[in-house]
Amino acid sequence: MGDGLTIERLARYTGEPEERLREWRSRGIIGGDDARDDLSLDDVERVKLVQLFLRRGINLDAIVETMRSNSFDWFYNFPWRASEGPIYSLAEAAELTGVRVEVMERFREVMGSLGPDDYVGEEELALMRGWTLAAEFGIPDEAQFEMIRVYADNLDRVGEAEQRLFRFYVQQRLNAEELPPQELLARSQAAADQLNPLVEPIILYFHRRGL
Amino acid sequence: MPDELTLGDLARYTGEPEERLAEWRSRGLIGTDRDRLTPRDLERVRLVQLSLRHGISLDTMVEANRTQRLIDRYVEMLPEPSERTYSLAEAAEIAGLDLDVARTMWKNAGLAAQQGEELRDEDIEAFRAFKTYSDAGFPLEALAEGTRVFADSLSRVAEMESKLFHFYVHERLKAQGLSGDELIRVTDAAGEMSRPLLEPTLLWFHRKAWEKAIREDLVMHMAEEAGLLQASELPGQLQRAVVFIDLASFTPMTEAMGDVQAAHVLDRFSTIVRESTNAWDGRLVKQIGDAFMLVFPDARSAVACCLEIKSRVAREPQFPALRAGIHWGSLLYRDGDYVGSNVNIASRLANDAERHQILVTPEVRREARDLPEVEFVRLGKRNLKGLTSSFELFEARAAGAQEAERAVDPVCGTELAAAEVAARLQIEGAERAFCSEDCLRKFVSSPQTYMGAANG
Repeated sequence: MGDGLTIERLARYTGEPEERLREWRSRGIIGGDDARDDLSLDDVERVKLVQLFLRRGINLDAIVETMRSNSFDWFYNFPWRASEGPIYSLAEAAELTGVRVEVMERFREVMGSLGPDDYVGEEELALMRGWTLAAEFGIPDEAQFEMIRVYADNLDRVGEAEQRLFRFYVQQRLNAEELPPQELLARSQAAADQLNPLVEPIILYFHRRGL
Repeated sequence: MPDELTLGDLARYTGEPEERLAEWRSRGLIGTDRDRLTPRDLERVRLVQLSLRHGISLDTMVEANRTQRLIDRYVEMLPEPSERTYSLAEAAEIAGLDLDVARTMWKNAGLAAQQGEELRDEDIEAFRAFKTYSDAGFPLEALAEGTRVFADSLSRVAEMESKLFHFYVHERLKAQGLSGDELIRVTDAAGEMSRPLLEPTLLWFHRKAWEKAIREDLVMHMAEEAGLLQASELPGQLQRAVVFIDLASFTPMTEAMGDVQAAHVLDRFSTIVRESTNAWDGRLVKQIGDAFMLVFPDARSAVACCLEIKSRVAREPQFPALRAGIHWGSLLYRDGDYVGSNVNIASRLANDAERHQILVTPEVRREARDLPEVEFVRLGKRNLKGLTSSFELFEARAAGAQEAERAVDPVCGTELAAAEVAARLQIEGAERAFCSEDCLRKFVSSPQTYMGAANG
């Protein structure tokens, strides 16, 4: 598929009714300033984020206000995020990679991706192509699922630790300084910019030590 | 470190007496590089030491290296040793890291035990990263905590990769009849193919996990701004619903059915718990056997998740019942885990729950009171083991749900629909149902043992 997303496709990837997505678009939560602008992969993430906010009892007005303030833009601009490039449905990805849909679904389930027809990006497609090797080696499905669980559980713990420690020891310290909102955002962003590039080398370092 | 070592150098670096090293050398376990001792022999010595600690004799090692080149291949797989090595103090100074911080990091990562005080260039790079974190405001305890979580988690990942490769590739090839050089060649070829995939896989899972953690963080920000959540007073303090959930008769089931069959049941239960936890925005904190500890950002999600798991478990054929405990309150995040008295309360609730029961505290009932189609049945005050005060308890149930009539096998504890009963027995005026003739035989051989179906 192309870079642009239609409302229909966005609805399919996120499980959100088209009517509601149109409302969110009209309120500036998704899509560009111009209603004719194509939707993009970032909008899939925006919809997921809005769904999460709503599940936690945060109302749409508060969400609209925060989205307008661009407070979350950095979230969409993380260095690893593939903001462009084609995306595929699970069935399409299964056909392209040779990984069975069932295995791909289990991948998504343990990772917490629960859209009715979740999308697969290029990076994940490459991973799935590599994963076919596990089956070629004769590793049975159950052992493959075990691998997925161990990866997911442990990297989940690592991801949580990074974010929680950053929040407790950097953000909350900055909050305590009672800085004006823009300065707080800028300093928090500067700290994240400094620390984020260190994370993956540290992960690889500890992993190599563990092997 | 020089390119060539003496026996004295090797003894100093490894703590092994020179006399013993000389014996290992004479038997071909070390000093195989043109009869010289090199930095690679440090790894050989460590491997021999580890094998001896595991009860593997020197003769066995010599034979395994002669026939399968096991030690040679292990050393060949390791990255080339650094041009030089550094003491902890030297490495800390080069990285600009306080020596106490460096020492704490080194110990907490488990590297002091693994590598001694002989640091390489990549360790200095890691120290530089710690220095950046320290400069960004991370106190020593936070650095130590982060290091422990990273080292523990990635060590588990590496262990899984190595074990599964051994079980499913190397052992399978052996079972197919390969041996000697052919086995080594094919195993090495499989290793060569799979190794380049490990790190991209690791980073992919990490990115997904990090995105999830950041999303949760955004929600916390928003919830605080919207007045739905109080900002924490202490570093690491969070308001969370904590859940303990397990299978009510997993221990007798494992005893009756054997480890492999029990592992199948556990795999199914684990899948259900994980899927439902993800669907309700929860987090799996840990799994010990059949027991799971979960945390949720709100009590409603925790209750809804447990009811969903209960409903899914009830639909599984020949499956044990579950039991769970839920409590809501302030927890402390430490070392990738959640601790505190509120965690203990939830754990005790699960222990106190009967089959199919989801026990909750008044705090959970208050937070989740408007959940549709859920009822909280008052059970009265109870004392929980190990806790001094008594607790008002409630059972969370799906409103109006009719639980299907199921017999419980007194031997393995699985629940059986009528069609799943393999054998029945009338004893002392009551009928007992069994999932298999094997369970029936066990019961008949010792009825007293199984007359009261136990939780476990």
